[in-house]
Amino acid sequence: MTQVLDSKSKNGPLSNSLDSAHPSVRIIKEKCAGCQECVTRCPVGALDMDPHKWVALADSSICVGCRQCERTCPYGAIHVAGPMIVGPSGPLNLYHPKGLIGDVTEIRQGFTSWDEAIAEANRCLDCPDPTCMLGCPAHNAIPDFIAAIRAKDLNAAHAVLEKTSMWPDACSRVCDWKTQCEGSCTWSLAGGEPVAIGRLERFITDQMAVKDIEVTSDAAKGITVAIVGAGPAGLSAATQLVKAGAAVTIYERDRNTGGVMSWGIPSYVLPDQIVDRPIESLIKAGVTLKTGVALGRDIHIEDLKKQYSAVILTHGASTPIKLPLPGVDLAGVEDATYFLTNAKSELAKEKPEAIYDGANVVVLGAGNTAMDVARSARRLGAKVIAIDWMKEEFAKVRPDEIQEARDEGVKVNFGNTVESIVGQNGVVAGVVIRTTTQKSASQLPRLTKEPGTTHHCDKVILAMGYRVEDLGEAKLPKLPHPPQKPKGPIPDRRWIGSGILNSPYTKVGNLALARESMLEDARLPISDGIWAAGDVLVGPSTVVSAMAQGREAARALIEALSSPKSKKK
Amino acid sequence: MTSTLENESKEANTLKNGQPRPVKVELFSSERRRPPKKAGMEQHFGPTDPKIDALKLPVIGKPLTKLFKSRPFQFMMILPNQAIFWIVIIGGIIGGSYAMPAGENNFGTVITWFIWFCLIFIMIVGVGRAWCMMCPFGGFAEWVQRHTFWKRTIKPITANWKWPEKMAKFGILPAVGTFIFLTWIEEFFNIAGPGYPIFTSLMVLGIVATALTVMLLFERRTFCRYLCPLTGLIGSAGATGMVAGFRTRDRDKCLACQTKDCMRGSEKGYGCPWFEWPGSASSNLMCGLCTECMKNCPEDNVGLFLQPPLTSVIKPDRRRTDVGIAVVALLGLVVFQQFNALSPYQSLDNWLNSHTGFQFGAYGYPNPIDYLGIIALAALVPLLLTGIITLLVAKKTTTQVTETKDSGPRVVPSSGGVALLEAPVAQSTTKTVKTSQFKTWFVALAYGIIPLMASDYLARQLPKFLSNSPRIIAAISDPFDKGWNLFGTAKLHIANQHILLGNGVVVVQMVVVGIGLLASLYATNKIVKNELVQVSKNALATRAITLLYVLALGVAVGGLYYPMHAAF
Ligand SMILES: Cc1cc2nc3c(=O)[nH]c(=O)nc-3n(C[C@H](O)[C@H](O)[C@H](O)COP(=O)(O)OP(=O)(O)OC[C@H]3O[C@@H](n4cnc5c(N)ncnc54)[C@H](O)[C@@H]3O)c2cc1C
Ligand code: SF4
Ligand code: SF4
Ligand code: SF4
Ligand code: SF4
Repeated sequence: MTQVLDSKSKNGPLSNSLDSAHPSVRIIKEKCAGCQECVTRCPVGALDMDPHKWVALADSSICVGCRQCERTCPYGAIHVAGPMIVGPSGPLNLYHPKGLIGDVTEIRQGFTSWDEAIAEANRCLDCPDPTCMLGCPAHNAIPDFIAAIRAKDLNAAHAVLEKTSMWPDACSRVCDWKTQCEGSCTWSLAGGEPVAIGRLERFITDQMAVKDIEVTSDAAKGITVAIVGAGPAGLSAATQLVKAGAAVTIYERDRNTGGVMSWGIPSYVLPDQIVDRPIESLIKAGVTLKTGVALGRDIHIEDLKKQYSAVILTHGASTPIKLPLPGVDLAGVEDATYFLTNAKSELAKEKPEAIYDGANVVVLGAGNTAMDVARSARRLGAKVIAIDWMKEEFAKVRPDEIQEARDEGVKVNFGNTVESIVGQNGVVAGVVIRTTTQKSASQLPRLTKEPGTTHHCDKVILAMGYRVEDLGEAKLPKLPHPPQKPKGPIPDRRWIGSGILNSPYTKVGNLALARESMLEDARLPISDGIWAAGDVLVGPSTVVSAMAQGREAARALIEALSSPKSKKK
Repeated sequence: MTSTLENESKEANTLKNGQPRPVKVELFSSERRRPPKKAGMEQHFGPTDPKIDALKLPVIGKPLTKLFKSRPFQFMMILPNQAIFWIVIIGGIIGGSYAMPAGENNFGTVITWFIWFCLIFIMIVGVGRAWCMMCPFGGFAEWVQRHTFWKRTIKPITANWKWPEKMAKFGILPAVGTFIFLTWIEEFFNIAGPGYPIFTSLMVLGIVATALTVMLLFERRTFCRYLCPLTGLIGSAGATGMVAGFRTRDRDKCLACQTKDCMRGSEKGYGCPWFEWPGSASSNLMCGLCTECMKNCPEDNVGLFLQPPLTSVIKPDRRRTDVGIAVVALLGLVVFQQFNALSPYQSLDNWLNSHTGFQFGAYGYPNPIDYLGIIALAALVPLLLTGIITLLVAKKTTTQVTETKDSGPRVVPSSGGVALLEAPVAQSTTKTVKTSQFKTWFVALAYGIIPLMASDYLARQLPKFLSNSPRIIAAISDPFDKGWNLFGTAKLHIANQHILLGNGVVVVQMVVVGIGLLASLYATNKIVKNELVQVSKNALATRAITLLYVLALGVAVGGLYYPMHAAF
């Protein structure tokens, strides 16, 4: 069945009837400068040039209403009205745990059949200037792997992914697609329902395992590199370097590799075998892994510099942010790292026990970390309230994740904050909760005059976020230096031209552009022979950004060290 | 293709520690953007493409390029004009304006009406929009909009509105409207008479204020393209000029270009303020010669092209109906200005005023009814005549009109080769209908009379210039009528001399119109040969009747100068 989406009401089918109007494309001939920017971008070939007047010509009967032309035209000479012609997106296939306790089955199951995947792939327009690729922090060639799915060619699909991503099986599980690839899909930019890029990427890795690493060039032959931290940034840098023939040693403080993905992100989101896959394959490819070795404690930058041709710092942002709350030092107040590590090891047991059975747990925060804490606590038998001082509409959270948590019985209260933690005999007994107001996303929330209410609880978990640990390596430039704005006064005109920045429905383009400047930062060495990537460079961000930055730092390193100039030196 | 940001500045390419900046992710693969291979492209950029690139000429090419690429260039061009017009404004306000009704010695009135208005025409006819490049009105407003004199700033001070689609359809016609309105104001207050200098200064202030307001509300130079009183005249009359404007040298580079910095702007300059694309410009109609595109182009692919006179009249690739209508309306306006110097007009105006009660003390000329009436009548003449010509010699043609109706499901192809989904099928029925040729003929022939119209404007300004321009010599020494003698030229006898008077002026006027007429005949002949003969019943008859029409029109407007006796 065909559905027609109304461009004005944010997604959601407007009507199922086939006789509702076509999109109509109007060109203001007087304003059209004849640049063909629209013509080269129209995915269905609905635009052409008038050979005599050299202005754009539209065939509305072919148009699917994606509005790329409207977004790209430098002079606003083209307008599209009417519905978007695209079917509804395929099923989410969410798993709803019944018993919950100890259940670590994956929640987001992705597409379960070729039919579902191909139907979704057919929603993709194979855009000539794919904005989804700009939205993906790793710049995966999305339309190419979608085309490979349509052709049922898994080898080709993997080959596409391999060029840009070493962890597609993880990204397609933990990414926040709505602010990345899917948010930048042309349908999203037009206010419609995007192609389910994340689920398609995952479908590829579900159907065929990611292949082992192969050495494909000798561009980095003879180069030795030390990588500090085995999170996504570090592992991705290592992959890139190994492929080019470099000798890589990874130093990791923990016993496990994977960083946050190993101790933090729960297995019902990201199964353990996916976390472990890359390091196994890296070791097979000859990488030396040294676990239990910490920078600043067991090794030092100066020594690494002497020992290796170059160093890449990817040790993440692992210091939890601690609020100066009254009562924060009481027993029963924990940080998210501690809690998640314990919870994960309990849940990893064959028969996990409800170790928090009946306990009242208060989680501070409603972001990624907080929801992982809350949902893990639920799986271990606790009653959970998550408290966030932002208003729900302004909070930088994943709505789908909040919804999943709520479905699992987590109470998520936005517009609230904890004023103090109350104790009895040095142990947590409750929290005093105050309400807040917030007028806009840019404004910080304020306390209302309403008096605080006391909520009884047995545990308080602080999950407000992380910052970069101060290792006392004084000689390094100050880290992190998160770039707030894209470099240069004007964003790259290819970005403007793609139309990603001109959507009236979403600001996803600005986010993507900011990520681009972080990628650029990762390419720059922080001092001679030292690169940094991931959370340690830009502050807490995402798995895929860390991974892409690791890749770019490695590429830059190879380029710098293998250039003839530096060889002479 | 490499990105612009990469090619940008040298310092951005090397880092603090001297290492080369690594290359960007190869993300924007050019294969994906399928470059169109369209029929018509060759022809579009073919025959009219001007061949001479002023920036590649020996000796002057390099210094010119350097000059145009420097950011302060346009500011330097605007500055002198800006200074002059602020003196005009101030002079009108503080000068001895009320004491001297005929501001014949006031700097403001002298320079505006005796000199500037005439020079601007010569410039238009010769160059095109050279005035726009140095215009102090738009220039001033643009300084405010960009909050800088010449630097590249990022956030303009403007509400950034787009010119409404409904208005854009009319092209330059609203601007012709503002010109007709302003001319009426000018006549009513006898500003260019010249009358009280204060009126001149208020008028200039009014233009500056309007330009500023529009620039603060609308994006880029919307004012200059769509509303400026002079833009219709400069744009259409400028078609005779020898400067084709800034255009690209190698079209293939433009087609492969991924950034279109000329339109979108870069670190080096603003995107075209005039909404042009140097890659496709095929007439000099809307290029404001601001040099921004050549500053921006990362491929150094923009040149300043020269063309033989009349090229943009004879063969712009894109004839515009709004320009056609503008030409006849502007012709109507200048004919009114000729007519108003004749005595029958005085009686008509007085008679109308007494019957309509349009008299306010000394002010009552021109009555809006006869003003607009005469313009309309005069504009109707070429309109009617081209109508008759079309009836007589145009071939009757038919076209296939396709009507589409939706019915049943349809398949939208996706590039993966798989059907996207089902959607309504457009079923078309084709009918043959007779089509009117009038628009084609009218627009083409209206372009043909552009030189005549332009020469008529020039001739109309000549009496003031030829008799009174030397007064500027005195006026510069005493710009505000204060009895000063700044340069010792205030009392010079020569300032009261006339270059020509009386019959001498009439002769020059007729010669000017004569040249315009010849140019129009030449252009019309070419246009007819290129575009109209093919759609006519008889080639010879077509050429004869169109030339006869232009000749008659020329003789009529030129002939009017005789009874006008070189009137101001
Ligand atoms: C609970 C939680 C949930 C998250 N959920 C998501 C999600 O769903 N999706 C998403 O995209 N992002 C999520 N994130 C963010 C994401 O995990 C991080 O942005 C990403 O892992 C950063 O990668 P990294 O390689 O820079 O650092 P990390 O993953 O932090 O890896 C750093 C590694 O360095 C090691 N290390 C630290 N200090 C030293 C030292 N001194 N010497 C040696 N080794 C050291 C650490 O042990 C660790 O293995 C989450 C973060 C948290 C905390
Ligand atoms: S992008 Fe705009 S100006 Fe360029 S051809 Fe299309 S409609 Fe015309
Ligand atoms: S809306 Fe999309 S499909 Fe329609 S003409 Fe524009 S670019 Fe083509
Ligand atoms: S996923 Fe969306 S933006 Fe990307 S190519 Fe397909 S339709 Fe275009
Ligand atoms: S940017 Fe170029 S095309 Fe546009 S007005 Fe200026 S000089 Fe002319």
